[in-house]
Amino acid sequence: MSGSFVSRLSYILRRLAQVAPMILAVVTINFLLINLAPGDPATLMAGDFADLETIERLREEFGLNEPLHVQFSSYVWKVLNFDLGYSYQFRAPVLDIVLARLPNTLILLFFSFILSMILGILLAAVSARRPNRAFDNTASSIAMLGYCLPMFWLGMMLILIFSSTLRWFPTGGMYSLRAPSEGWPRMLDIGRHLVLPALAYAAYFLAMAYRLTRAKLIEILREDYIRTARMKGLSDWSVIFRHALRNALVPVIAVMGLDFGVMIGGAVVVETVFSWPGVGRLMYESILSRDYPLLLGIFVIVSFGIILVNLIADLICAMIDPRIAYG
Amino acid sequence: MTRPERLLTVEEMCLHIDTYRGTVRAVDGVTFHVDQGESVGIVGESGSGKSMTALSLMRFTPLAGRFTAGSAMFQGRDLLKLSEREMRKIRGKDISMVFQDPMTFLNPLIRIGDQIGEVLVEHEGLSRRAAFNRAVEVLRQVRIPSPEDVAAQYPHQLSGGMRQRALIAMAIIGAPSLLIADEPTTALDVTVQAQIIELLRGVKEKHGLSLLMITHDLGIVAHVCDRVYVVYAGRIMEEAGVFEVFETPRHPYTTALLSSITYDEESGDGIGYIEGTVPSLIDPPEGCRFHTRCPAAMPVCRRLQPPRTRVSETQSVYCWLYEEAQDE
Repeated sequence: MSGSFVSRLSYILRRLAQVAPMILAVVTINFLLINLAPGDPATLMAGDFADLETIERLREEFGLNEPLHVQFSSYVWKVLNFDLGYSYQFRAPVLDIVLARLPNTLILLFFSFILSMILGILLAAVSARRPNRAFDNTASSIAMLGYCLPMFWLGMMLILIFSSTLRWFPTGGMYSLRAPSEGWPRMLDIGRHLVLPALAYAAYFLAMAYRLTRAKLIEILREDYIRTARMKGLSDWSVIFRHALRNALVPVIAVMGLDFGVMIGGAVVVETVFSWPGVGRLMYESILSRDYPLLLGIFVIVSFGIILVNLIADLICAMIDPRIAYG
Repeated sequence: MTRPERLLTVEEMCLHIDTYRGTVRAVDGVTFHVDQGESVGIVGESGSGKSMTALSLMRFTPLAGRFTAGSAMFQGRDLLKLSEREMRKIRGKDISMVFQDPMTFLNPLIRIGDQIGEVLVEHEGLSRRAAFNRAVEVLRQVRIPSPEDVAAQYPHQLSGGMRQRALIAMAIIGAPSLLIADEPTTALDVTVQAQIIELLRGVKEKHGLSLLMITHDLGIVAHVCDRVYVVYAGRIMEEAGVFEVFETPRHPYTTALLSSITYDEESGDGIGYIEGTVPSLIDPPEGCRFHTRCPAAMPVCRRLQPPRTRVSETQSVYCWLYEEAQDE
C-alpha cells in the first residue's frame, strides 16, 4: 500500500515537472508562428486611408518596430503576469475577451465529451461482447459514418432537418432574443440551443471513442486473465465491466486526451456553423481580422488547456494502472 | 475396501472444433473418472488434447467448438449440457481451475486480494471488504508471507511463484470439490515448481478436494497423482495406478513416453525419444492413433480402433497387443 502510494506520488511530481518546459515551448512556438505569418497588423489597424505617419506611430505604440527577441522576451514576461495583450479589434484586454467566451465553449465541450465517452464506451461494450454479430455490425457501420462525415456538413444538415424543416431547435446562437435572463428557464433555453451543435460536435468523438474502446476490448477479451475471471463464475457483463474495461480504458483515455487538440479545431467549425459565441468562433474572427494579440492569446490559453487535459488524462491513467507509476 | 464416491464421470466425450482447414477432433471419445478426494493425472504431449479435455469440463471451449457426443457427469449433472447460467454457478464454486502461466492469468489492474475475494462476492454475496479479509486468510493458507500486504498489492509487484500461489488461493477460496490444474508449473523456475507441487498436494489433503492434474511431466504425476490417464492425439491410450504406470506400462506409447524421460543405466543409452510427430487432429490416422509411430504396430492397428482391455484392477489399455490376452 505505502509502496504504491509513494511511487504514485513521485509519478505525479515527475509529471508535473514536465509542465513548465512544455508551457515555455508552447509560448515560444506560438510567438514565432504568428511572426512568420504575412501581413502587417499596424497597417490593418490604421485602416485603409491612414498615412505612413499614423502607421509608424501605431508600430511604436504597440512595440512592433522592436527587434524580434525584444518583442519575444517582453511577450513571455507579460504572459507570465497573465497579461495577454490588448486586442486591436475589440479594444479590450485579450484575457478578458477570452475569459468571457470560455464558459460557452466549455459547456459545448463538456456535454459533447461526456455524451461521446459514456455512449461510446457502452456501445463498445455491447459490441465487443459478441463481435461481428448484428448489433456490432450496425453500430460499427454507423460509427464509421460519424467518423467520416465532415463536421460542418453534418452541422448544416442538422440545421436543415431539425431547425428549418421540423423547427424543433433554433438554427444557431446560444440564447433566444426574448429569453428569460435567469434561473431554470434560462438554462432550458441554453439547453435547446445546445442540442444540435453538441450532436454535430459529438458525432466524430463518439465514433472515435466507440471504435477505440471496441477494438481494445475485443483484444483484451482474448487475454488469459479474462479466462481467470470467467473461471470464477462471472457473467459476461461482469467480465467486461469489471475486468476488461478497466484495461481497455487506459489507452482510450490517453488517446482521447491527445485528441483534445482536434476537439478545439472542431470547436472552431461547429461554433462558426451554429454561431455559438465561444472561443472557437473568436479564433475564427481573430484570424479574419488579423488580430495578432487576440489570436496569440487564444493559442496560449488553448495550449494551456491541452496541456492541462493531457496532464489530467495521464493522472487518471496512472490511477487506473499502477504499473504506469511503477515504471 | 470401501469404494470412494464418484465425483466426475466422463464418458466418450468428443469435442470437435470447426476451422477453415477442417474439423479438428481435439477430444475424441475420452472416458475417465475422478473419485472423491482422488488425484488423477492426464498426461500427454503438446497437442494431445489434454488441455482441451480440461477446458471442456469448464466449458471454456472455443466458439466454434461443439460436443458431438459423450457426457461428463458431475454431482448428478451433465456438464456438457448445462446452460451458461448454470455453468457459471459451478465455476469457481464447485469446479475451479489453476492455469499455466501465472504471469498472464492475473488481471494487472486489480489488487490481489480483490481478485481472490471476487469469487466470494459472486457466489456468496459477501461485501468487498469481507471478501478481501477472507482472501487474506486464504493467502496465508497457501503460505504467502505477510498476506495482508500481498493482498493489497498488484500482480506486477509479485514474483512468479507468488502469483501462482495467489492463483491457487483464488481457485480454492470457493471451496470447490474438484480442482483442475492445467500445467500449473510449466512457466515456473524448477525450484519454485517443487514448492507449488507440494502446495497443491497439501491443499488437496487439507480440503479433501479432488485434483485433476493436466501435465506433460511424469515427475509431477509420480509426486501427486493416485491414478493416471495417458492421452495421445485426442484419445486415451492407457489408464493405470501411479505405480503401474512406472512399473508395468502396457501401451507402447506409455513405454515410449517413459523412455523419453529416463536414462537407462545398464545399457548406457541416453534419453530416448519418439520417432515422428503427433498427427494432425483434422485428419487423424485410422485405427489406433499411435500406429504411425508405434514400434509394435500390426496390420489390425491400421484399420480398427483398439477396444479397452482391462489388465488389472486399476489398469486398462487401449491396444491390440493385449486384446488376445483377454480373449483367452
